[in-house]
Amino acid sequence: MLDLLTSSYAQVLQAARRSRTGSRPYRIVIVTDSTMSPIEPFLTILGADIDLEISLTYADPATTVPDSFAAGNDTLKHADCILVLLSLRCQAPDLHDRAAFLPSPTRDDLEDHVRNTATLLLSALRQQSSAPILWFSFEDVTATLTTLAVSEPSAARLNHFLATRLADTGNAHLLDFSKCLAQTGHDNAFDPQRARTISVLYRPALFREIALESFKYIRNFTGNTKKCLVLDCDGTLWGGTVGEDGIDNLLIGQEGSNSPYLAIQRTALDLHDNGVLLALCSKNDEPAVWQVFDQRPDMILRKSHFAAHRINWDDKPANLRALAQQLNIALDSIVFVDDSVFETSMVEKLVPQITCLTLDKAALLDFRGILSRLGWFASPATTKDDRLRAQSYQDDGQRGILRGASATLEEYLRSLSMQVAIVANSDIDIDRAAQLCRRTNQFNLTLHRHGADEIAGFVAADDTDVFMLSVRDKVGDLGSIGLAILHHRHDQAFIDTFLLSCRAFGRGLEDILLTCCVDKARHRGATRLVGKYVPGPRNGLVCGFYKDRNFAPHQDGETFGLSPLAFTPPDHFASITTPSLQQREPIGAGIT
Amino acid sequence: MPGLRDQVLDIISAVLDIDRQSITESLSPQDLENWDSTQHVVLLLAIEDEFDVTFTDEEILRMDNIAAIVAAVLERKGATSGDL
Repeated sequence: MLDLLTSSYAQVLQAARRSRTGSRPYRIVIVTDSTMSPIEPFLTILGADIDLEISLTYADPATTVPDSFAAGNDTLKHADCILVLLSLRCQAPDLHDRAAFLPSPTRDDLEDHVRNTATLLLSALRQQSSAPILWFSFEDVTATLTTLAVSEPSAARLNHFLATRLADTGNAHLLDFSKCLAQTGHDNAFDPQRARTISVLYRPALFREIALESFKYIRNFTGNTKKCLVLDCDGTLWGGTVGEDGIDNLLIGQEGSNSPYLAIQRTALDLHDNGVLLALCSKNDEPAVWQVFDQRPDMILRKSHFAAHRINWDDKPANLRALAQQLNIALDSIVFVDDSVFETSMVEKLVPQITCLTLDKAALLDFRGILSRLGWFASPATTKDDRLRAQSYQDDGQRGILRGASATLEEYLRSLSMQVAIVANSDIDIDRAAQLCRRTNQFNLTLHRHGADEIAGFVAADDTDVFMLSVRDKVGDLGSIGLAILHHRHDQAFIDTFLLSCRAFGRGLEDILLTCCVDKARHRGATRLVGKYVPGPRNGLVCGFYKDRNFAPHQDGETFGLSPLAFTPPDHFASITTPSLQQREPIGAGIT
Repeated sequence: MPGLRDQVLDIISAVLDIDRQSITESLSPQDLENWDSTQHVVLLLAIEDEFDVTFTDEEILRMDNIAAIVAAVLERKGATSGDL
């Protein structure tokens, strides 16, 4: 993937042609006033990397706004994602070229015209599709001829307006065009000659950044953000080799120095502090590695920052598989960083699901910048649970000791003294609920990737209940790790979403959450509770979830129904707090 | 080091999704369904980017088959057909 950042456009085209096709179709509609087709190979490669087969359709905002789409055109209806890139050059050429020379009423009129166009377009898009909208901001236009004074450009005002409008619309995001431009530089970004003749405004380098920026979001929409950064030690966390050079001679750097190894450690620590798991995978004698952590005062990272480690002489593919198993995360949520091409290419070959980053000279010197451009770990909002996550994995070591001391699973679960709390609707943390929808791939029955706006809608709706489950035990706090969304329709209740973070498997928590759904359905007068299993790439674990709990399969094979009375939860919890059933009226009451 | 001509043909092959062996001198947009205006634009950008040239409008108008595209690149890069 690193190649994508440095290859020439011709190389990217060739790579796109060679790249394997993803197995899941993903349709992107690009709404634009210029020619965007050169972006295709970038999107193809980025899609293939997460097993998506990208198909692109282009729409002209001028025809999208009136009604050509409404009149039976399905393009938007089937979109998985809508990307909007409008240019001031096309929307208001005078504003773009000579804003500084316009009388302010004229300038205001032009800005109003752009605002109106954007507003109409946005509502037309939302009317026809609930797909996420990625809208690029307008480029800053600051060219002046006769004044040196700095003034607020029109683009800044328009972008502020866009940000507000998009936030109000829901599941619509403003992407930073200036950031893409800053990465490429003006002269590498624009192509005045092509703009004039064939309406291609941008050069390939800028299309690359636009594609990368868009994919930071698409990874989130499709549950493909990375969760764990696995680091090699020698040549990655420090310069030199523990075994050869000795602890005192390793190159790390004093605080404030510009050593690239310090920068890597600081980047890793920032990721850790925002919920990314760190792990070590190094060919070394384990005690020697920990001695570096203990004895070198210039180490920023501490042993306690790592959720797991494999420091031994076994091959790295095997060690990485073991790490994934220990942390209970999927292989494709791991990024592995090593300075040795030998190691990264072996991992790429034997465990292709893992994303590898070879720390060559360029990557070593700009580790943070490269991770930022690739955006593997980026998500729209961080939550307080992000900080709990790493600690919770650490606590798992302690839990392993308890498990070893218990004769049976039942005894172990009792020994944890688990305190479970379920909150409902307005009491839930909406950002965390959306994050669980985005991140959870294994114990996730329907894989519905609801955004924060949708969840806020469910919370507000009278015919929907949202439950969030959190648990703490005598070892530590796991935070909010379960989510269920229940729709009530007449005398039936439908489980729209039912998921559990991978940290919380094997404790019977799913049964507490399901009991909560059963109780609520019963309280609202439902005679059937309907669950659905939607198979995805990684949720095979729960394919028998409803069947195992006496739900009877429906004819379509995917949905299961249960009389809300026929279910008993486990009893190995120290305490269970559930929301009051009196919060809302039974659904039957107001519906005819 | 592949010659200029080979490099151009590699790019054409990738953009138009055809094998190198199927590319003939006289191949033009009329012969290939996916050699539409969109792909033609991509092809031009890729060639300009790879060889660090910007073709004039007149040059682009002339670049309507394989032989003409290769010739335009060679002309710009100061190579003659002897370098092929």
